[in-house]
Amino acid sequence: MSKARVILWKEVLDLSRDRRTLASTVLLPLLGLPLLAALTGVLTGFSVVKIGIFYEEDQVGDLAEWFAGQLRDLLGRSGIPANVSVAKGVPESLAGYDVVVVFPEGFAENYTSIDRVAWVRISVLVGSPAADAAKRAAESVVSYISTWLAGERIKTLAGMAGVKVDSAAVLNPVRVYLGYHRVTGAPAPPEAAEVAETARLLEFALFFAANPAIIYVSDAIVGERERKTIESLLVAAGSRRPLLTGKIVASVLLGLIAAAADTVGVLVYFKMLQVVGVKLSPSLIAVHAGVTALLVVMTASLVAPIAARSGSVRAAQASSFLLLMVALAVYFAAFTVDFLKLERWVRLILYAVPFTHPAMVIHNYVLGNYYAAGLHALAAAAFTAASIMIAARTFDSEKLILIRR
Amino acid sequence: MDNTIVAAMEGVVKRIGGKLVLRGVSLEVRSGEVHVLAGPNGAGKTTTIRVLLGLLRPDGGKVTVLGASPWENSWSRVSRMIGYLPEDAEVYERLTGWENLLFYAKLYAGSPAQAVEMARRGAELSGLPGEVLERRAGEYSKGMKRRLLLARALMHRPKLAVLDEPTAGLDVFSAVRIREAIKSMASKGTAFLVTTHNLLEASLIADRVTFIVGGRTVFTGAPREAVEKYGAANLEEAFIKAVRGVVEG
Repeated sequence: MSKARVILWKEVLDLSRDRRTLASTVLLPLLGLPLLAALTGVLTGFSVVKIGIFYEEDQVGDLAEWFAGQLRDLLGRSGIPANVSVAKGVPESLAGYDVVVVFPEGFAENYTSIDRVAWVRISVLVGSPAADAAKRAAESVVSYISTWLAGERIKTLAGMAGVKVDSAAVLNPVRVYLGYHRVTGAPAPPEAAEVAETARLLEFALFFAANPAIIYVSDAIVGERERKTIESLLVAAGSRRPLLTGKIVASVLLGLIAAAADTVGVLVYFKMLQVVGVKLSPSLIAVHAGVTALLVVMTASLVAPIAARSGSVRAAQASSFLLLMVALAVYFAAFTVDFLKLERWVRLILYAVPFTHPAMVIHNYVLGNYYAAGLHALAAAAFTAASIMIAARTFDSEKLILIRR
Repeated sequence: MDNTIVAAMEGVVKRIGGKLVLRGVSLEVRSGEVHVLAGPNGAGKTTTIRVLLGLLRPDGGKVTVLGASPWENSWSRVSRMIGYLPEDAEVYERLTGWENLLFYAKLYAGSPAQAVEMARRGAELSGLPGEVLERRAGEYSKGMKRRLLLARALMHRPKLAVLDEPTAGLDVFSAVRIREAIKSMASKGTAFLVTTHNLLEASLIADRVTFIVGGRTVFTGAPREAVEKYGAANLEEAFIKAVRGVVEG
């Protein structure tokens, strides 16, 4: 029987019963982030925004009521409960209101005029996300009224001039036909932009894939010493190779399950919060899965030498935390910055960091630059091979046994 | 005993962190004998065992186990014929007692069927009832764990068994059971290298003893020879005289 397979069997059996580790690395990210998003939604539902609409002239009363109806409808569709009241006369204090909309004196005359501006005053409570959302809804209702009124004024003017005009063309004389293209210059469908946006999200999610591998490898290697099982195992295994292989493969296997849970959790979180559009294609899922696997192996082999030289699981995880911070910096940057637009020397520095390449595989793939994606995959594989070689050299029984705590 | 040398160390020197821990350890363990390695605290007993098993690389001297050096390619084959019980060894607590045995059996055996047979032998050797072996080993008492670990070290019928303080911290019944198991397996040809602080226990089981003091072998031979050499009444007194001889000399 292959000793590496036997060690893998033991590792999987042992870790499958380690409920705390499994819960913290698989269930928590899978359920935690969506629950967080759900909680945000629930809390938003409990946060009632109070809006006061005031007018000073009787002839604006109907418009104010219609305005209030539109606001209720818009906010209701966004899941924001609103208490909208309409009254004549402006209150002395705005206290108690999140948003106040005032149709001031002179509004009716300016509104019905052909060439005057009718002002609406909107006051927003500072520091309230719900008030900001209500303000945006009020502005969109004002914009709707403004566009409608402009159309009416154009019709009136055209009637006075005795000409026929398309009021929509007068209002928007220049429009945009939006199209997309790939790096190669080939046209891309509109959904390609959404896929690219999702890809940036997946690049960021790579950070969560690197995290569990660090925890597993640290525990698998240093944990044997801490639990006083390392010496018997080293003797029975006969050589360090099956032990290292079994440990890394087990860490990768469990790291992949955790990484999949993390990625799904992150995507659901962003989808629920509607921060960005999420659009996945089967090929993008496949590329992301491959890249994640490569990243988990790379991370495991980068951590193995650190773990082998650490006195305890805690010390190994603390040292590996620095690696994790590098990964976080790279993947957060990949989410916010287009690496391909950076100066060449900045890119070269980034390419010296192993974690950059998995992100660049995804980035180049969605842009249609398959050749560059392949090169970055090779670079990631080379870093992984080098890390495994370093791990194999460092994974020495003497160092494992004699390390000081 | 057929007197075949199973394990040998000759003038072994080992430095750890700049400190000379072994200054010249020599011993021979023969087939079918129980060889006791005795020495005061810090004498280098555990380091000697670790060097013998290839866990530490010596800075000088020669080590041979079953005709191979621990740093040769053939060591993987040889290691299957060794059973090892470290002094402070622990079980895999989330695995059952049976799974602990089966894991090591799989490492030693050539096939799954052999592994199961070997683990069954281990279960029998441990003397632990079936329902206990089905429980997670983390729930076991210290004595039960030690019995399981000893069974794990011996279930593959090794040619060389290295036991570091096998009875330390055990009650008298468990200690007697372990001594009986050692004597029984030695009579069937297994060579035992056993470290102990307990020279009375050593006199009960040892065919030969090696005293190491300050990282150096000061005596190796039959217990009777030690008693004669140091003009002592028993093995314990011989050991004390040997240690004092080095310290005062």
